[in-house]
Amino acid sequence: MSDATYQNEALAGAIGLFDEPDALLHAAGKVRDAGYTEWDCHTPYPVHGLDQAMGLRPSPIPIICLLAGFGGAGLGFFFMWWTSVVDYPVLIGGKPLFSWPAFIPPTFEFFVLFAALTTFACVLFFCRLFRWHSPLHDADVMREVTTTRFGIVLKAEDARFSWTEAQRLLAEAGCTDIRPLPVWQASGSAAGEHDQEGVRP
Amino acid sequence: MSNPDLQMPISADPPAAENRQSGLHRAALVLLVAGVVLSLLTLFVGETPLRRFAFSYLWGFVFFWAIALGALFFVALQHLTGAVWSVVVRRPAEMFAAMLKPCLLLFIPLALLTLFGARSGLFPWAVPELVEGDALLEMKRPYLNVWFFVVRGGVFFGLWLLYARKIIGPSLAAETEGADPTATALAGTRVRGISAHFMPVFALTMSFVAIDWVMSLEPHWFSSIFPAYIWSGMTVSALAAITLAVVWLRRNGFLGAGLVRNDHMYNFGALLFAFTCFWAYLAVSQFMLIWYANIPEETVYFVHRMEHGWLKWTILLGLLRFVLPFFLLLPRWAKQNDRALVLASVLILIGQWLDLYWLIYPQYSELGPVFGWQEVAPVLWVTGLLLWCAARFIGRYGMLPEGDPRFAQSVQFHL
Amino acid sequence: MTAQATTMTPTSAPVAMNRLEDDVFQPLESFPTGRWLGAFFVAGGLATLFLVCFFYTIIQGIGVWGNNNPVGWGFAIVNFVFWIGIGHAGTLISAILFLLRQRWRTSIARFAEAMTVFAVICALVFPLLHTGRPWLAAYWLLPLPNANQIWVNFRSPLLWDVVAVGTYGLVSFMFWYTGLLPDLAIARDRARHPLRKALYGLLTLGWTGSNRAWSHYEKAYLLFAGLSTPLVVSVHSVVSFDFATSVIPGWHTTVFPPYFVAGAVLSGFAMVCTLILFLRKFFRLEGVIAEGHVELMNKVIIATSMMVGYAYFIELFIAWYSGVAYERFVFLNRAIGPYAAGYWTMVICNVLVPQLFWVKKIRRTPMLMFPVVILVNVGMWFERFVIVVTSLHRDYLPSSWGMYRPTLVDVGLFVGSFGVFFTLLLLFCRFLPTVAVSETKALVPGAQSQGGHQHE
Repeated sequence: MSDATYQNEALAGAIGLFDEPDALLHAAGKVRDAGYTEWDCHTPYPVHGLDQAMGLRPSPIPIICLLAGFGGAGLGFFFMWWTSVVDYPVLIGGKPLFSWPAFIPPTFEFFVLFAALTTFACVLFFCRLFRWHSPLHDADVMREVTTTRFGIVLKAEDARFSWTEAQRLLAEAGCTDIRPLPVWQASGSAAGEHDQEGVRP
Repeated sequence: MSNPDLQMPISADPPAAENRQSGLHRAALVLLVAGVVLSLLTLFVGETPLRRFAFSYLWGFVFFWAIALGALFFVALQHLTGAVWSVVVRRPAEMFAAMLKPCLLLFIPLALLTLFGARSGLFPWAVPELVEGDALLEMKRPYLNVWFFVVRGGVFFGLWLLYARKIIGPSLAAETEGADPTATALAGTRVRGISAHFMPVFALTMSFVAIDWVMSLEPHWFSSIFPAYIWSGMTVSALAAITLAVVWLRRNGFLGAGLVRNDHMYNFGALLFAFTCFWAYLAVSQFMLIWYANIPEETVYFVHRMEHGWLKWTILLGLLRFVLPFFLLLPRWAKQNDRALVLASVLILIGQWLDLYWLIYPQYSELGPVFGWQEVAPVLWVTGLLLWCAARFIGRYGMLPEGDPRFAQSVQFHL
Repeated sequence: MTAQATTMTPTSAPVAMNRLEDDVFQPLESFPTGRWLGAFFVAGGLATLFLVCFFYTIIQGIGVWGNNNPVGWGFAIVNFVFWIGIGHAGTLISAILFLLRQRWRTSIARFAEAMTVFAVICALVFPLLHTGRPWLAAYWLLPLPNANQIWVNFRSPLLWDVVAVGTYGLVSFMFWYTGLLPDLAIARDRARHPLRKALYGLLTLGWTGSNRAWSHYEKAYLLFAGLSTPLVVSVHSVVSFDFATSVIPGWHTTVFPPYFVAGAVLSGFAMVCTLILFLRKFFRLEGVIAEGHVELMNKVIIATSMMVGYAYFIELFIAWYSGVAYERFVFLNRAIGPYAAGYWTMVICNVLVPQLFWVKKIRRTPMLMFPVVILVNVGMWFERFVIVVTSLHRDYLPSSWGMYRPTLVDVGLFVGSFGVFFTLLLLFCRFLPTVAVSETKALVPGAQSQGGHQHE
């Protein structure tokens, strides 16, 4: 996969733009039923019902967050017990070394701290953030899908993808504004660097 | 009467519903009679029968009162916040709020037990021999004296009944007489205003009776969070009772077909969960602060509840009232699942019985918990009375406030 | 919401969204107005005053403050509690109202969250400075392994405070930043200058509005709200524990935790309301932040004001009921003692003045509500002053009685902290979107599927 092969005409995918949330939901259902796996919808705000239309599984973040919270609380409580009872016991104010009622407030805070930090890490991980190299970024369509319009992106990674096939599917799904998505190129550097599978239109 | 916009059948199967109502009525009567008989028996058996009766009576009375007044608070809160979702389930809440009337009758024996405090031995401050020579109790006499106790209790009941009439009255009147929409809407705004100033009245009256009926059992002890603690228990137990009623009524076709959906039930689940946490927050705050400051005149309260066999009741209380309902109601699905909601509500109601027992009975016997058939009696008659009042109410009023202008909107509520 | 959506024509949705976007991003994309510059110079000046007092305190030691024996906690703790309380409204608006599905919150949530973050920063400075040598604070406050092999004391409420406020600051920041991500993407896509585009692009972490991301994002946002709600209650409760675990009459009372939380919400909402009134005028956001929204905040103010009034009353009643001579004295001393003016300012401003909000006209007219919310801000500061100073200045033994007078440095730090707060806030208004645009767009009539819930 040399750099020269792909250049400007290489495609990262195709995007179909919609004006109405209903049209988007309808089209998303079509694409899902067509068996695509490497595709996505881009919307300026969360559209109700789109998760179901796309057939997305519910996010695992809540359960991870809960486990992290309980883990953090347990760890915090253990740490407080260890520092005040085992490692360096100091009698303060006549309180017992293992003053569990005094550990309740910090234990709760540890729960929240660990759960929140984990949730934030999950946002970064599951939302695929810290990636500044989406093929959408330099395209005009990015502006449209962060303002008022909705886009369905069929990615070139998908085995079914070809420019003509994508056009056909999107048009069938009711889209009138279909555009190719060129491979993203950061300041002229090669696209291949960014793991983008390009396909000729 | 029925809303023309609504293309849904309102009543599922009237004859079956009627059977259900009379069944409830009969079951309630059995419980009520059994409870009353057992309670009266308490008066004649054992060593200090009157004292034991007085404590068991107070226990049952406070439980009943908390559900009735808590329900009125809930209804007023819904009016005040202009909540739409709760309109369709408001009648069951009004049903419990209407029980403030029989609750007033229940107050009369309590007033008598206090007036003859020297013989019943219920409140130590009402026993002259205990007050004489006790500097603190003598000093508190302007507040803690039997006549003031009875009078303020009566006045507070008067206020609650007045507000209950103003807050649930228009809704029930529209039910029996049928009202035109504009008048109902007008009444709605008026009720909203009344609910607003009910809140401070409720907060103050509830605080004073919490101090009078429960805290003053240990007249030396004081805690400024105590009324709020009683309030949290009251609210969550009233919510649990309303939830149980809604589930039962829905199952038996009193709430129409598909009008009360899981979206509505979710709110009950969320409220039960929130107030369960709130109760725990207040309980832990009170305990932690008193434990930490370690001032003898305050810690005595918890010493009485952690020694002589009381500790296991304290732990059981935390488990039943917080830990189990908390984990049960934590997942989202549980908050809209009838079985989980019923289980949680039952746990919470048992927790409320236990909580009040834990608050009241150590004063009866510091040297270890007592629990005999005498303590079963109030549970029986209170449950019986609650169900009997409910059955009568169900027989008298429709369970859907269809006259409310927001009824159709409420039916369509989505999370 | 479904009812709303059907009454409006769907074609108006993109128009409304574009107008909303333009309204919110206009201040970011134009040269600062004279008023902004003027405000920035005033705030910056005060912030400079803060820095001067800050370094003066560090160089001279905290002896330059008015703290003495017996009043060991002076302005520093008063200001700490004051600022933390202000922050709580932000979390309340962004988290609790979110959980309660109060959709009006979207117009003010972002701003309130920013306020929380800045208020926590202002608050944290005071106890740090109070330690005298803030550069060693990490060693005293955090459980770091050290050469003495001793640990911090987890049995102390002051350390709970470190854990609670630290967690609170972090969580508030993460919540705020997570909320900002989609709007930063809009800022990036609107930007014309490449540097601007690059900076916002960097901050938005590559957000593309992908629904696979939204799906996780919405869950995470809900979780943040769910975590922040008990957190905000716990933080001010822990702050109240700093006082209430002691055996000082006037501090040790069990109602403190919920009372402090209610007071925090009251002061915070008063501050949000004050700032929102300015924001609407300055940046012409009347269309986004409607009068109805401000009215709802005023309703929260009156509700919490009555809760606080209830706490004042129950404290007083239980002090009498307890029969403890010291408890009774403290409350009598508050009302008629040397700091009586502070006590009555607190009662009048926090309990009596907000009762004006029973009148609908006052709740809805900016000019009429403005003095009320300002007075609540004043009253809530005095509440903390009364709690901290009046309880300490009369010890158990009359031989240990004293008086507290703040020094100029104390006043400079307090006034200066407003400068720091407003400087940060003004910068925020210049560089970041002050309204949660993507969240508000989702609620514009016609923004969601007309089929309603058939997809769910």
